[in-house]
This record gives sequence, C-alpha cells and structure tokens, in this order.
Amino acid sequence: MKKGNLHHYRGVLILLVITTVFPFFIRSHYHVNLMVFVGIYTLLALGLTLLLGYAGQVSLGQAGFYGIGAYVSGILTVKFGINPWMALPIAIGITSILAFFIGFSTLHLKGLYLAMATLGVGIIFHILFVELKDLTGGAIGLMDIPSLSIAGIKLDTDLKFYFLVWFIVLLIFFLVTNMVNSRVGRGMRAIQGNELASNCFGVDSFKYKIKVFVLSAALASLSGFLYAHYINFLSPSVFDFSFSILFLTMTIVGGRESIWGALYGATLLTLLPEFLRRYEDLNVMIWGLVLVVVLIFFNRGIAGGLDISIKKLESRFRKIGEISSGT
Amino acid sequence: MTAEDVQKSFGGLVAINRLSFTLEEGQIKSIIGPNGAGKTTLLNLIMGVYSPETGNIVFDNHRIERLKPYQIASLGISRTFQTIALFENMSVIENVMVGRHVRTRSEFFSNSFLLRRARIEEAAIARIAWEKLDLVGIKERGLEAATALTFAEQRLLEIARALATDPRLILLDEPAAGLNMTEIKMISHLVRRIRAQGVTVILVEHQMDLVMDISDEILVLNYGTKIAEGKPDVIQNNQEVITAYLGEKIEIAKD
Repeated sequence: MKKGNLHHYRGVLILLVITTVFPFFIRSHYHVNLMVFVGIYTLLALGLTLLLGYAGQVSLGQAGFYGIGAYVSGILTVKFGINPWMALPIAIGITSILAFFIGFSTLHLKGLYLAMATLGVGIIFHILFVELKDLTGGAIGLMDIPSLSIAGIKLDTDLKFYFLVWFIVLLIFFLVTNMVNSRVGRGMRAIQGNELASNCFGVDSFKYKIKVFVLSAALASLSGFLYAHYINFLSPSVFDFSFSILFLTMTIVGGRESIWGALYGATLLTLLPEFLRRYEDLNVMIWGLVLVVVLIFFNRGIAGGLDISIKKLESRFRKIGEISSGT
Repeated sequence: MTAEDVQKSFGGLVAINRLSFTLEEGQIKSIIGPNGAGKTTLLNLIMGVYSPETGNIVFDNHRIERLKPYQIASLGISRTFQTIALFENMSVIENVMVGRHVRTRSEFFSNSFLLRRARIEEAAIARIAWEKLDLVGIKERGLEAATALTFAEQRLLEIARALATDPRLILLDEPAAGLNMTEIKMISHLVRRIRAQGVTVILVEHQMDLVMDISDEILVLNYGTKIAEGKPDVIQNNQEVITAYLGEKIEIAKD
C-alpha cells in the first residue's frame, strides 16, 4: 500500500482504538448494550449514506430490508434448525435479490417519487412480518432465536456481542473506505454531481444505482441478522416505517457526504434519547430541537461540521507554526 | 463519422431537419449558426443524449443513433458542455478521474478488497488524469474543489475530463464562451494540440475569429437545416450565411 493513501484509514484506526478501549472503562450492561445498538445502526446508516450521499438516491424502506435480514435468519434458525452462520449468507442473499427487483422497478423514479415508492415497499414488508404468522409469529413475535457462537464460544453476554459487532463495523468501514476512494466511489458521486455528465463519461447510472441499492439493502440485512441473534426475539414493531425514517435521519444528521456521518448519526440518535430520558415529558421536544439545531448550523451534518472545524484548526496551527518559525 | 438524413424535433419544433454531413478523421469541423439553430441538439444526438426520429449516425463502422451515452463514450466519443457540467461535489483531479471510467473495469468487490488488478488500474487512472490536467495547464489546482476554479479554468477542466476518455472524436460545445482574448488564444492553442494528437474535433462556437482561425471545415445551421458547408474562406463569403447572421439587406428608397 502506498504511503500517500494511509490517511484514508485514519478514521478506521481511530475507531479501532476507541472501540477497543471503551469496554475497559465502561462495563455496565446498559452502556455496552447501547453501544451494540450504535454498531448495528451504524451499519444500516452506512448503507443509506452510500445510497443517499454518494449515489444521490433516497430510500424510505430500509427498515424492511433490516426486517428481512432479521426474519430470514430468525426463521431458518428457529423453524429449520439451521446454524446462524449458514443462515447469514442466505438472509443477505434473499434480501439482495429482493432489493435487485425492487431497485430495478423503482430506481428510474427520482427524488420524492422514489421516496414514496420505497416507503410503500417498506410498509408491504412490515405487513408481511405481521401477517405471515406461521413463519414470523405475527404480532406475538418470533422467540428463542439462538445466540451466535464463534469457535465454540457462545456470544451470550453483551460484552462478547459488542466485540463481534464492532469487529464487523470496522471491517465494513475498511472495505467501504477502499470502495469510495476508487473508480466505483467516484462513479457513484458523479451520478449525484451530474447524472447526465456521468453517463457521457461511461457511468451506466441506472446499473450503478441498482448496485448501490442492493449494497445498502445487504448492509441493512446484516444489521438485521445481528439484531435477531443479539435480542433473540423478533417482533414486527421494530421494523415499521418509523424506523426507516429514523435511519434516514441518522444519515442526514450525521452527514451524508462522508461515510463517517453514518457513525456520528447512529451514535447521536441512539444515545440522545437515552440521555434525555431524565427530562421525561420534555425529552421528545429536546430531541427534535437538537436535530433542528444541528441541521441549521451544519447543513452537511455532523461530519460536514467536523470537517470545517478540523480545517480551521489546521490552518490556525499552521499560522502559529509560521509565526513561531519566524517566516 | 457520417450523419445521414438525421431529424429530431421537440414537440412541434424541428430542431434538426434532415441533416447529412461527413466528418473526416483528424479534422477540426466547426458548427456555427445563430442561437437556437440546433447546434447543441446535434451534439446531443451524436453523444446519444437524444435519439433521432429518422436517419442514422455512423461512427467507425458502428451505428450509434440508438446507443446510450455511456456506450457511445466507450466507442471513443467524448464531449464538453456549453453550460459547465462539472461534478461540483468532487475535487478537480477526481473530475478528470471520472473521465477514465469508460476505459476501466474494476468493480465493487475488487476495489473494496484492494485486489491487485484494482490497485494497478487505480494507479493508472491517477497517472493519466494528472497527465490530462497537465496538458490543459491546471495541474497545480488538481487537489482543490472543482468549484474553486475560475470560469476559464472550469472550461479547461471540462476539456481535460473529456480527454481522459481517450476519445477519437471530441465534441467541444462553446469552449470559449465567456472567455477573454488571452484565454481564447489558449483554447485555440489547446484545440490544435488535441488535433495534433490524432483526435478529430467538432467545435460549436460563436467566436468567429477562433472558428475561422482553426477550422478545416465549417458547417452552418439555421433553424436545424444545413445552409452551407465548406472551408472557412468559402463560408465567409457565402451570401446565405451572411443573411442568416445579419439579416436581409433592405433597399432604402432614396428620394
């Protein structure tokens, strides 16, 4: 690897240090549990960031793909006794095939029309989770989903699961970092920048949109798989369309033009409600207010805001350096 | 390249009317005509942004009139845009790198996992993109945001991005519009250099000095119809062309 490319991995390295050090200081089940959710939602939001921030396409159906991943794996392990690690590729495969057909039929739509179409798809999936009672257990839920095991070690505590989730998050961030800094990432951003121009330079934009859509659904499916085998229980209520909106909000508030926005957004929107619990009735209002304030002051989200602050700091240090070196 | 009997209309308006012309390899051919004559529409037909209702366009023995822009790009046609159409969400060099898209293959998987062939291809993309940026003379601005460039530099970047596709035919849509005399000279020089590298050029331009100076042949459009075609000196003295540009001479009765 060339030295010049090393700065691409700065984010991955920082995250590696933070997630490794975290459990040495904070070990309460409650906090570790929260961090597991931050990890699961980060993967989901990352898929949406690629779709929305890079390829410029919106989806309000992510909770549906999240649910497909969770239910396929849940059903295969509970009803058919399949090993979860065998169920994972099947879950991702089924989600990807569904996403391909949905993308193929909806991605010629633009903006709000695409949002509406994907919203509809998400709602259809939710109805299926409720109504296919024989498979999903309906509103009562699907119980006794087995926990994951790695090399004979059962991941039955929050802390063990925490390490698995964040290992996967780091791995995915590493891969996605490579991807966005390549021909493929530039192709995606070109579509968002100017679709017609991107076509004239060889980007088959429709094909690209479908691929990114499938990729985002696959990441949602992976999140669903992790959720199912962490909570060991599935009920349709966590896959309804309000979650699709929550995931989209994470992406936008976090900053959709940077893959790290997904991490910031998922962290803020997972921890903030917990933090605000002490304010009882006011919490929803404060939650809304924080979102509005973030978006007013950083219209490119938290990642965009951080980017500007870091650049300011850097130029200030450079000036101090110039003054002290007498130039 | 040949166009034969090509027609395109928008609603009731005939933008290109039964147009035929031939383009020799290595030529600089200019297309001129008053505003609304159909010049940009013609470029969009060649590039595949629109498909003609009748007629055919043949490039290098391929019928291209039904192909999509990205397919036509891979055959070796590239373009710049009259209203600058850079990727404003990217840096200058990344804009040029997108131009290599059509000549490269690596996909999601090989790039994510840094497979050897993806890394080799990525290095080649960067090298060629910097070369093209150097060719148009804005290499030193490569790492800045595309939006940070001056207007003239943005026009140059458009050309660099088009050149990155290794075109055999480049369509330049008013590359000198809005530029001053020095900058126009620069463009003129650049177009000659592009041709010297064996690239055929179609130039749509209003700057007559530039057109007369560098064109091998000129095609004049008016209301989508070809009214003249020939060498610059012939076109300059063509009565119909003068009429289209300046209007009919009216005899004023003297008393």
